[in-house]
Amino acid sequence: MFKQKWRQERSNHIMLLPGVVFLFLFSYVPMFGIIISFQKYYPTKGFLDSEWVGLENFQYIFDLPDFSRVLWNTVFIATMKIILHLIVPIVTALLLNEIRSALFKRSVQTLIYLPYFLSWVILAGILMDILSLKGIVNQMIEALGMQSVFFLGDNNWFPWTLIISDTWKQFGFDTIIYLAALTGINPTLYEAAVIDGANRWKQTLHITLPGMAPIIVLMMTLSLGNVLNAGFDQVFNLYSAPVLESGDILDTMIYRIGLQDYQFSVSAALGLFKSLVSFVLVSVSYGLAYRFANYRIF
Amino acid sequence: MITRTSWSRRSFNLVNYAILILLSALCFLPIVHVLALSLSSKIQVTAGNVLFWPREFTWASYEYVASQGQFFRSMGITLQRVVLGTVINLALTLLCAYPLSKERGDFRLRSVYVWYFVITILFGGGLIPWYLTIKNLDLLNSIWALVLPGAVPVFNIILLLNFFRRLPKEMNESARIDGAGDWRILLSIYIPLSTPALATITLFTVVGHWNSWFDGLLLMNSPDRYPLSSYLQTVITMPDLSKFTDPEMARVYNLISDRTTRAAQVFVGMLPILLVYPFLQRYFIHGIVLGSVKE
Amino acid sequence: MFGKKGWMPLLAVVLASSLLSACSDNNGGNEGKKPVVTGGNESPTGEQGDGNPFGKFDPPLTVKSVLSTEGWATFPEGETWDNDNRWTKLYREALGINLKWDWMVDSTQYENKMNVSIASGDIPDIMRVTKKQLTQLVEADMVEDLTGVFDQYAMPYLKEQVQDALASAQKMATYDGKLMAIPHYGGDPRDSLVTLYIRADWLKKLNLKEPTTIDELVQVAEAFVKQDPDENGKADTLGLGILSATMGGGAMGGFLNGYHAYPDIWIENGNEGLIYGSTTPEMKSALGKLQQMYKDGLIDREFGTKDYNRLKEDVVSGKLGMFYGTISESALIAADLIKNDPDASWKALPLPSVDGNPAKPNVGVTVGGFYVVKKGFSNPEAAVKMMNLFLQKVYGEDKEGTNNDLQVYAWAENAKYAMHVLSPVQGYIKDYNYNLVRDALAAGDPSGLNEALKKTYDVVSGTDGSDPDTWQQWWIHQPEVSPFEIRVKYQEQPDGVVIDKYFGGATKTMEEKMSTLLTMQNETFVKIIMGAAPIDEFDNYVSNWKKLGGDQITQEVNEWYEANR
Repeated sequence: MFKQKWRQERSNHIMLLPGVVFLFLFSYVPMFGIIISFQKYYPTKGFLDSEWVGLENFQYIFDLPDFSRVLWNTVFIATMKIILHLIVPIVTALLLNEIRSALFKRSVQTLIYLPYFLSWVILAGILMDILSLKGIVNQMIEALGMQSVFFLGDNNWFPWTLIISDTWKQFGFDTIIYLAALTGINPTLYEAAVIDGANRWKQTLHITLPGMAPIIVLMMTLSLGNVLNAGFDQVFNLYSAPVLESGDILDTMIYRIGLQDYQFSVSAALGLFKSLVSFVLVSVSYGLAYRFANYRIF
Repeated sequence: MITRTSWSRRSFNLVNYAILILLSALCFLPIVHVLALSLSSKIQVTAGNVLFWPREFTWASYEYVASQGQFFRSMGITLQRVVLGTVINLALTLLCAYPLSKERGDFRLRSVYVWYFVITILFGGGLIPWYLTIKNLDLLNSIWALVLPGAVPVFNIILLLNFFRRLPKEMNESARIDGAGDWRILLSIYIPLSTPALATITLFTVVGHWNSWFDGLLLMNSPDRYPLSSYLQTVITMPDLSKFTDPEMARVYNLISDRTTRAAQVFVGMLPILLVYPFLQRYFIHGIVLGSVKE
Repeated sequence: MFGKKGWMPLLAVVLASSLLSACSDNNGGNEGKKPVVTGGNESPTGEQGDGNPFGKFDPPLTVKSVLSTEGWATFPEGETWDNDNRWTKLYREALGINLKWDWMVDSTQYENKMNVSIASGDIPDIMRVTKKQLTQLVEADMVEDLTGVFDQYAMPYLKEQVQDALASAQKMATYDGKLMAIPHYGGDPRDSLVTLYIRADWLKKLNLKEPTTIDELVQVAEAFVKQDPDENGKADTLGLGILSATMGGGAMGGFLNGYHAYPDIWIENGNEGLIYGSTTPEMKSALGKLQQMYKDGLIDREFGTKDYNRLKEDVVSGKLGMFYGTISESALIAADLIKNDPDASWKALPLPSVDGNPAKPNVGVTVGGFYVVKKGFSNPEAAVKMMNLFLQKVYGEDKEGTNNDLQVYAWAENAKYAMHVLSPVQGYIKDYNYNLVRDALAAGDPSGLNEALKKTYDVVSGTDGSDPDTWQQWWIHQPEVSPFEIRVKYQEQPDGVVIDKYFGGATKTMEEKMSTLLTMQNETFVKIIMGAAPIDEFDNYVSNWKKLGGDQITQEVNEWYEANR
């Protein structure tokens, strides 16, 4: 019985073997580096001889005077990004799905993917120009008779500047995934719905969205792992002293400490902290989906 | 499929087109701006005079990034990397996604494997162990250092396994009754039926390999082995002028401006999508046809 | 989870242990070398013990080293980073040193690559490290003591400069009285002082005199904002351009100095020892003035979010007429603004002061890195000889620049190619080029100049400043407007510049707290200036600064000062 089962499943193991070996070599072996989170690590001393300090590095991070403010900023910015990164690409994909003209569809698809290729260094330059008080956006706002907005220097606006510009940069990329998901929906379902007299809106609600649901849930779960990643490159290139209060995040704070040279162990500790939080969130959502929908996300 | 074009439908279409055109413009105009920057003289850029049209038109930035023989050598390394990397990534993605897309009843250790894969997205050891591992495997300074450490794209595997799971089970079963093994099923049923997903993953893979620069900088031991993005990263990074006290030095830095060359870099970075994407887009539509024909 | 696969943990153990043993090999290997090393220390001279700073190794010596490459640098046809270029040839032919590269890496990743190399226990014979890495290497006993070889082999001009302008750099490389590295000399720290740059044509147009006091500076700023100096009929010009940074080009440091406040450095305070310059009462008054100026619209509303590039944009587009800058800002003005607006004219001025006492610029002590020799390397003097040769080729053998070969080994073909970046050992010492050329110009006699300076002389004497391409060379050699002239004036006074009195690297508490304190400082200062916090917030900042580690740091700094003054 066992042998028979094994023979049946043998090809599965064979197929997985290369992937398992590569991941072991290039992901699991380097994970021994996690131990430096519990050390005061210096490259000259190596992984075995560096001083063990227990949870001191974590304590250090949690005790930083700005920690609670920075943690809040991180969670807020990241969560808003996660939400918008789900909604905007899904809506865009649905809107594109309603377009008949293949040429138009393809053009839009290509154009909205382009911002993905702009690095934050160059984008920051552009944003500083167009969002400055004399920039084009504020000229339009003033033309409409409203007060100009200090997008990059006002603590009420700065987090939203981050969230929206990041969504803008990223949504074309994510839209592609949902478009691929749309192609997998069985066309006969739509035909049946048309015969039943369902309009496009009803079709979207009852066929398209449920058809995309597995991919949506998957993307949601995986993005939960980012709840402490608010985007280092972006914040680093856009923030400044007046908006530290609303825009300083964990990664930028630790980066500044790194500049003062006490870097390896503290950033490893921060990384481990972030990993653990991600792990818990992903596992919980995996568990919930399985328990309540009897569905395995991955 | 026939849709009745009611009044509300027509107005929806109108609004829909308007929204999508607006979105495209929002994405496209900044790119035009960057293109204009890359083709303008440095002085006009520094003075903030360039909007959507180049001022004092010049190819200088492109000439600068491509001026050194290294540009073409790096391009060669990148092409090698993209081809090797994409083949390996795709092969491993397919090989891993197929068994993992099975139900637990058909593959008992499935969940163990899945978590083995997922953990690697969530946890990492940091820069130094990563480097030491690659060094100890004697991969430094070779093309394999750019390809093998990222050989297993876990995100893509999970994405693809979800696409695989949505394929009709009946086909799988009837194939098995016909005596097809796992390999046959993967090759002749799963792959042809998943072209949209595979096109998506191929695109991500090509773009990823084309644009990644950090590993090249650290894992290659000499600038003549840098892939293109690493090379571009080095030529456009200029030290902060405000930190220098030697005017002679500042003068050399000043011959070039990072804003125009960075802009030029953006377009070199976009090349693959401009070349590959239109080609891949065909598969987004074909997928449906194939799927429905099979049934 | 992994227990089910018996082979996996096994393989894990095998691989991990091979990795870890690679790391411990490193330490073991060093211990193994110790006997050789002590032997080397007792007679560091070896067979080339002639003390000749430029003596040639015979038979040739192979030196393994590493190189930090610069993407912007281009070289003449046929020379590249890793082929036989003019520097590798020079070291081979002049010193008998064959360079072998362990690796080369772009300068942005140099520190990372060095860290991973140290971690892997695979370090070259001669390499550049940071202060932090140096301290660690010294503690781990992985590098040679260079005290003896430096005394014996350093060329006279280098020793002379080490007595004077480079003394602090040398001290930074010294541990318990032993010189553990040769600094990548950063020149005279006072060379990085800031002066006030001002649009002289605007001053003339508005009939204003050059500001020497803060009050006059405020008046000028007000006129620049309100009287439309660019005559375009729009109120689009700015008063004083400053950045939220407290030191460096474009920063507010020069203004703060006008109040005798010295941000970010440690200054002597009577019998109290060293105190931190950012926390003094003078700082509070200076910030109060900036707050007022911001409120009056004399400082850009967006000042807090601006970076250096935005400031440069304002200068080049002709919107900004006044800012504080280092010498290198002359290049930015030259290359861009003058091309954009040939009628613009700039002048450098000493820092305006709030009272009768002249303002003094403050500077930090910076060193580009430290060259260390791997413990056990047979000929540690090679590092000193290479430094000698580099300095000789780039700076010459004395203040007049005798025997330098700048145009071959530093800035080839009219500074089109930067060649010095090809050398694995580099340093910047103080040069007197400005004074030499200025004096020759005044006398109309270039005969005393070396070849490179003669070229500069010809360029300057052959133009009236109307050609944008040579404008910068011309401008910096006009004593009445030149920032170099201001710099020389400051340096001629014995106490003209306030230099950071602490250069011992990060103390234990600094490592842990300094970044938080700096963030707090930056945030508070900017908030005060922008009016988001009252000026009395400064007092809270000072007491928080003390509480959150500042007192501890002050104590550590003063302990160091006692031991090193």
